[in-house]
Amino acid sequence: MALYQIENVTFAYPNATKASLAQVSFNVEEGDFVLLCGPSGSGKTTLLRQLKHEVQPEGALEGTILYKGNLLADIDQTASIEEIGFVFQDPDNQIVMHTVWQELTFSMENLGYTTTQIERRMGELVPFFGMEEWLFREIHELSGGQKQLVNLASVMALQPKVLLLDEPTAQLDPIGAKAFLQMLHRIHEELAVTIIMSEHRLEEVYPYASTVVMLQNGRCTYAGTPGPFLEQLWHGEHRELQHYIPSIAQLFLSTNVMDDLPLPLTVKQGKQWIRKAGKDKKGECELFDGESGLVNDAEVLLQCRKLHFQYAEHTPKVLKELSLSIRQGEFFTLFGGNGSGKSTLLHNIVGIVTPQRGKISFAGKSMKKMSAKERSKWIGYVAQNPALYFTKETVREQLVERYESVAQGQEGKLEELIQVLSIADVLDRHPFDISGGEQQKVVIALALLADPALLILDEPTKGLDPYSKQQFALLLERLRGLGKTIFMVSHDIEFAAQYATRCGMLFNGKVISVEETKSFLRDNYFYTTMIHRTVGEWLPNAVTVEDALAQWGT
Amino acid sequence: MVRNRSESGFSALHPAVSFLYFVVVITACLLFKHPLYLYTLFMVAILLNWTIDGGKALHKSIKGYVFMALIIALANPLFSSRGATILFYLFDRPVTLEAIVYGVQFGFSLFSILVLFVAYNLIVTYDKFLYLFGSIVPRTSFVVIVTIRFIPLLKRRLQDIMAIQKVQGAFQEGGKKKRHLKEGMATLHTLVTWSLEEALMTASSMRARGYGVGKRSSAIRYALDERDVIILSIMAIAGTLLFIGAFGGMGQYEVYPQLQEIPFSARMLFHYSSFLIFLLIPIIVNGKVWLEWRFIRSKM
Repeated sequence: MALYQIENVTFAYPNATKASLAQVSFNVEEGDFVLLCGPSGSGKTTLLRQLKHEVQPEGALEGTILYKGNLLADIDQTASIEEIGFVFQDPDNQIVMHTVWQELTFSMENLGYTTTQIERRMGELVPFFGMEEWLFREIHELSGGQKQLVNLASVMALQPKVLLLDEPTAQLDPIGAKAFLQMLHRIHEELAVTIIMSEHRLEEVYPYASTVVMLQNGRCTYAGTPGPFLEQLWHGEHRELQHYIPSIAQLFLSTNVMDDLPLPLTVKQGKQWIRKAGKDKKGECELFDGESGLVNDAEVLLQCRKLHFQYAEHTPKVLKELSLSIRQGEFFTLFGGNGSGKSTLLHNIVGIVTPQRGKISFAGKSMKKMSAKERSKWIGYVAQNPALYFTKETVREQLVERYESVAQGQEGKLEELIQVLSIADVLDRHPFDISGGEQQKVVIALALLADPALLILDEPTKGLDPYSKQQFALLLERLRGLGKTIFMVSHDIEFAAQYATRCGMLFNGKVISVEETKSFLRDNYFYTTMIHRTVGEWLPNAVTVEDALAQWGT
Repeated sequence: MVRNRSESGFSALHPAVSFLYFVVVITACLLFKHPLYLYTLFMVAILLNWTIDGGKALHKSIKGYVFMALIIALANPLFSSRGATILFYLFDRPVTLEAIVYGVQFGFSLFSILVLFVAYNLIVTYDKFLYLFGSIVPRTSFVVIVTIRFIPLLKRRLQDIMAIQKVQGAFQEGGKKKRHLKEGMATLHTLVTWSLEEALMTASSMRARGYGVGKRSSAIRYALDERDVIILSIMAIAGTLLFIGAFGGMGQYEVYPQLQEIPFSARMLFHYSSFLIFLLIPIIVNGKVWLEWRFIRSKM
């Protein structure tokens, strides 16, 4: 008997005009690893929440969901809490207690386990997750990746049979995400826990999955083994879904050679395929000349000279003698590990904090001498968390307030921005009720109302699904067309590879190796795209699928 | 079971013992007005912090506490003209010696209480508090814990929002008061909306992990051991003497209407000794641990 039998499930939120889920049916067998994918707003979260009685949303549910042959509502409460674990998307807001230790024991204490039982479970759990070092730390001292592991461990303490995970790595940096997914893989392999997870990072999860379920507009458009899924996406009618396919698989599918080979997903598989397909020949080796003329000649817009910054007297220096210049019209991307000081650098530039030493100037004018209003003419800042910007009840009020304070008298400015950013549909909604991607656009609109020359973005692609990312890239291109310069801080190498003009890396408090995107990625070994790691041996200039295809001449 | 890397000495005792200690000592700060008693409380409060973590936690907040105590000490003679000994007139109001002494007294006891609370937070941690009161008033104590986590959390969020609002052009120096007020309200509005939004998720996560299903248990078990019993007995004896004496008028010192001579008697000395013994318990326990370590290390 299947573990979950989901039959004809239709669900609508109260007062909603459209059902969030429409006739969804599929089965989950014990020990399965189910990958739930689909664009934002396709009903993934709603579906996952239907699978655990305690977190089911209010609304009208039709159809049946059986767990081990019983309706969810009929299962004994303790059994339901113990057997079905749920990990939410945001690492922060699902944490209740003050320290890691308390958070791990929270669920066991709720169910009234005895102290001996709890001690024993902790004795097993903590070494399994490798948490000995931070067991007594306060939660807020941990990184996002560590917090999400705490959330997973706290659920695992109850020894669940099923884990439901709602985009658990969307808010994490690549390293944290990798650690989390590897832990999940281990739990699946070693403890045979059934896993149902929604996720955008297909290349990382796809190899683990035993079943793939695709949701589009609340409908289940695919439910089955992963094998034919990607081919089906590729050949399917929905072109926007092609962005979901990992880049190496895209390359494979574009070339149409050796269709009898298994679809390569990882760098290793990609290299094997290239060798077998006889494509392992050196490509034309004309190297780019470091930087392209256009960017080099443009006038310097933002200049940071020998910045030094530390948060307090006896804390380590975050920025040490950092110098950086951003030129008019470029799209600059700054990479750097977690805690390398990327956000701190942005805070220095936008004036949230001031450097202890060094100089920041815009178009030759020192930032220190500028008022906040003047500064906002130069820079628009889009922080990681859009929630920080929203002070009004509707998006419209928010935009109008900003318009009145910085763009008074510029007729049509607001209308134009609403059109460029395509946010007309959300104007009358509460800023907290719209999706993450839409929130981000609203914040960009707020920044652009002051008509800044430079737009600063802090990890803008975090948590966006592949299609929204594509749309976001088009938006940035359009803004550059309007003469804006873009400075982005990111972990998203694949995104920068396609769209950025120059890249640099922040390491040890300094910006190092600033180069034109292609040569930056070409010269890196770890910090480069999947495609370059796969084909770089033969095509040293290829960093994107298009590059590789062009150089193969297919 | 070792609860925390740094738990030893007084912190390692049963939470009931440490909680009781602080209840009595903080009550004593409010009860006794005798200069000797107040001075002793002041010294013990600082010494206690020093034996716990070398005074690190106290160092962070001591400036504010001194400031508060000074304000209290200065404000009293300025606002109160009680007392018979008029020293001088300030803005046509008499400033009396009694009011000054009363202010200093009050400042001292306030300072001691604040410093004792620093030590309290280091010793009776949240989970110990939850353990102590979890079984008596489970809901309330849980709410207290969650609230305690929320204060620094809200503070961090507020800082984040204010930074962004500042970049957006709010809170500029030289702005009008009314405008600042409006901007402040907008910031608070964001803080509340955002926090409520987050709290909804927290509630889901609590429900998903079985909060409210049945009676909560505790992951920590503290059994009264021999050491706890010995210390509790000493505390019981000294404490009883302390309170009997207090009801008999020991440790008091009346400032108003006129300063009296500082009382001193054999009976008071006896009472003071039991007071001192009670106060010094954690310092002796911590001191013993300190000595043990020096002793063992020297043998190794």
